[in-house]
Amino acid sequence: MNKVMIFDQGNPVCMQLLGKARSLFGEEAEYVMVSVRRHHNVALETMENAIREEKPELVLIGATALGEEVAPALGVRLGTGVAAHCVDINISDEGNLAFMVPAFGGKVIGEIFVPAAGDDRPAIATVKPGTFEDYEGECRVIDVDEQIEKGLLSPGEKKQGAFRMAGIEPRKHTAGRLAKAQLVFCGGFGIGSPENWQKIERLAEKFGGAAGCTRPVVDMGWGPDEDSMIGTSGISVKPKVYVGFGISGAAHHVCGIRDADVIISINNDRNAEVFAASDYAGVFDAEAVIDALLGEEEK
Amino acid sequence: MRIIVLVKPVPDPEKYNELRIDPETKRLVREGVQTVINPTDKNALEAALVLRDGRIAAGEDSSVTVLSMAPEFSRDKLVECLAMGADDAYMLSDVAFGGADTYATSYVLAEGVKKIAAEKGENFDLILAGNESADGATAHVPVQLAEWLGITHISRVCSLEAEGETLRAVKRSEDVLLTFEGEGQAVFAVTRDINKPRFISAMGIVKARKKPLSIWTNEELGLDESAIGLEGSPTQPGRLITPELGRAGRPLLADEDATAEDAAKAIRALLGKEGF
Amino acid sequence: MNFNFTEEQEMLKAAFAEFAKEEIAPNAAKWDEENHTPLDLMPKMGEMGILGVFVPEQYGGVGLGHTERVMALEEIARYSAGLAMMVFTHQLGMAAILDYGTEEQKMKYLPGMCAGTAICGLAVTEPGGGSDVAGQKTEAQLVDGQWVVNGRKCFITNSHCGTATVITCRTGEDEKGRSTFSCIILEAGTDGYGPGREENKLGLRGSMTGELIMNNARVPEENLVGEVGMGTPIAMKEIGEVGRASMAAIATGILRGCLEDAVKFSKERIVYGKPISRLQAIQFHIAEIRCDYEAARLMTYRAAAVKDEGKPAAAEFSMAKYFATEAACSASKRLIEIMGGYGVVNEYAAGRYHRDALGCISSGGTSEIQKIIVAGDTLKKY
Repeated sequence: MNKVMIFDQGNPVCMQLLGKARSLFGEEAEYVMVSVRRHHNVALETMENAIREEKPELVLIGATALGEEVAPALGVRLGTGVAAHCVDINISDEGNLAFMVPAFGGKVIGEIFVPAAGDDRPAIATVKPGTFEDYEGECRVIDVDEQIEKGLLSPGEKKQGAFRMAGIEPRKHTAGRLAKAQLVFCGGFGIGSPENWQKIERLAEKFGGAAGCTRPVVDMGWGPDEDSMIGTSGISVKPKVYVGFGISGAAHHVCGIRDADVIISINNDRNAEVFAASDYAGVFDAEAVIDALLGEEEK
Repeated sequence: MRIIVLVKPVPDPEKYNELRIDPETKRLVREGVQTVINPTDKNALEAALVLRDGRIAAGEDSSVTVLSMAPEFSRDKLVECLAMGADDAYMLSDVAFGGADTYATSYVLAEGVKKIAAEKGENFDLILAGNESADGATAHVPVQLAEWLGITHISRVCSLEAEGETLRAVKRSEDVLLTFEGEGQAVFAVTRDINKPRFISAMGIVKARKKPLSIWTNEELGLDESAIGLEGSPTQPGRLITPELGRAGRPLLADEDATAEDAAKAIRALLGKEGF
Repeated sequence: MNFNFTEEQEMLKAAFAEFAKEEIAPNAAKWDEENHTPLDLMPKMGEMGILGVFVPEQYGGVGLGHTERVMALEEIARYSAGLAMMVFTHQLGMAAILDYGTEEQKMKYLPGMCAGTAICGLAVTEPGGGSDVAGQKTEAQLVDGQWVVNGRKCFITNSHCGTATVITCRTGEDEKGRSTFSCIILEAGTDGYGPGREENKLGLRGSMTGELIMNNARVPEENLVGEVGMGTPIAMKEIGEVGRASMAAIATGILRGCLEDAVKFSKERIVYGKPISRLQAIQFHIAEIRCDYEAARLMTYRAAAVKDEGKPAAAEFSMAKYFATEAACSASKRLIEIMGGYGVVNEYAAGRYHRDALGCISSGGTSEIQKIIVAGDTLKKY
């Protein structure tokens, strides 16, 4: 490996990527970070130019809303392959890079190889924030934002087409908090009602944790949106303790909690698949246990 | 307004726990797992139908075309889309397309879009797709299709409205909602909370009988075989593994007659041990 | 001989099943407990094409057949037999209008009924009995171009929610002095016509059952369905085919509920360290329920297919109705046995299935009536 480029979009994931890359390639490789904290058309143009100029062999991009828009687009523009949402990156016995990507909700992990195809056709990989350890270190930075501010570069807008940004609205979101939480209370379809989702949120508040849910709770419209959804298509959590209520154990959810230290599951279905992926299995009515936990606290 | 909706038939996501890897062939065994329309694609179709009906109510001409690259056995999934309300459907089906990664898939779809436009003698205005498929979940294809076509793409669209000629799409990113406004060709990849897809009605199923469904092989598309399928894919698949997710699953309480109160106490004890 | 549904029928089944799972399943227990009739679902079922699935398109229907109608009822009854009662009775009245009504009547009533904005019914039974058709006392006299109707009907489904109901009335007698009857449409809101008491039923709750009272109710002469004196054959034909097909389908839906719940419960319930599904005693119950379900299903769909071919199917529907409803009674009892104490707890559906199955016996003719019909047909044919 001679050069690794990392997209710094203003999310801590870029440092995690740098750390992972350093652990794989050591000091033999050169690392360069392209810092551009702008929306996707500018970011895309900038990254494309930077890759063509710097000719890295590998480009790592955080799989955020922005990264997911930039990475696959770069793939087509540069005529190269993109490995999505890698859970790990390995160097195979033959010395090739093997990107480990989840499929079927994480039930299956597939190896993906992106054979180098030429100078400006690097392998591109995206990685969800939190997949790799936080890292502190430095590397060369191409600060595009600064260049734009100094007027050295004009933000490329050529593919923005007829759609312009008409507004930015901050949102109340729990995604970041959930991903970092040391304690997670999670509700599944078995909680049965919007009221019980609120109780899960109250539990999180009382015990100092974060509240998460599974896909059906979002789909049923019981309150939370996809930011609170734990799983491969939502947030991956790695708390010290995870307590799940009324969760069946679908692959895409279980894969999102695999890094929890302790998993406690409450479900009245003795055969719930989640029990096989839990440290502690409690065959109880979810609502009754939630109430008991809240009750004790409120006393 | 001419709208194209991308649709992918996928193994039923509710049944992913039943998937396993054959120890001999190392291939995925999906026996008994039905094929369904990728759930988020149904949201895209719903959004398209609402836009179309709005245009028609305003006295304009509008239509929704469904496009899918899929094996021919999943033809009935496209009929389902017609039954839901789409006007016509195109299926790109050829063994030569098989084994494609998102790069080669989006290329074939882009060529399909161009051929549909040529065939109909008019260009599309908007392409909608589910943000990601349940199986691969890369979220690449809508973006890459737009790149092949050289048009705007906006993904994670959680709200889409039309006001006259102007479309307003809201993209949900980690900490902000970004609103985009404009006119002209674009690919929007929608999330599942954008709407609730309608039920398929008996009337819809009967009407679907008469709606055109075309199946195109590579003979019709005429694409260079080195640019499609496995050969045209810049990524190459290796081994498949099933991650070990199993844990001890020991009972929270040994006592079979324990109550919910006892369970709550046990959980509090475990939380206490970890410092909560 | 082909026992498979067509691709289109499979798609319909999946569509009905999805609707039932989302709109009916979550509420069925509540409707039963509160005896609530979910009238707001009627327009939704209209939109789904369930109500008018067998009605030609020119009257607002879908233009399919009774096989598809039966399919929809099975899917509804899988979760709520009570709701299926309301739907089928609505269709029963619609069928009488469709088969015997004038073009004007069809155009006037069927589109709204297909859409679920109007609710239909067919009223025959009187306090004196249901299957004793000749003993009906409700009377209609033609006076100055209007039918003047007097009498009382009881155990009428949709009694309190019907907007237009086909009612059999005595309108004369034949040369031998026997009463003859005619079918007349009475619309809600007509002076002198309205519902009486509403029954509190053992099963099939969530459908309204009660009296209809006619006290000098006057309706236009053109509300006559079919010809004067044809009331009995019309009612017998519709009850015999559409009605019994529906009861067979509803019982088949209950049977499927029993089967699915039996499998789920026996796999989840651990006794002596293993799921009870491993015990042969439980397996025997499950095998019996499965056989009952499969047999009921075959008989019901075969009868519907015979009707869709345009052939007489009264005996086939009687056999299916008799077998399926009795099988639903025994299967739901087996389910309660499998579930032990849980079987009698109302949090579980087993008890409701059993009450609904018992409720199915008397609708559309008891088992004894069916056997008489089957015997009559058999003695003729063999």
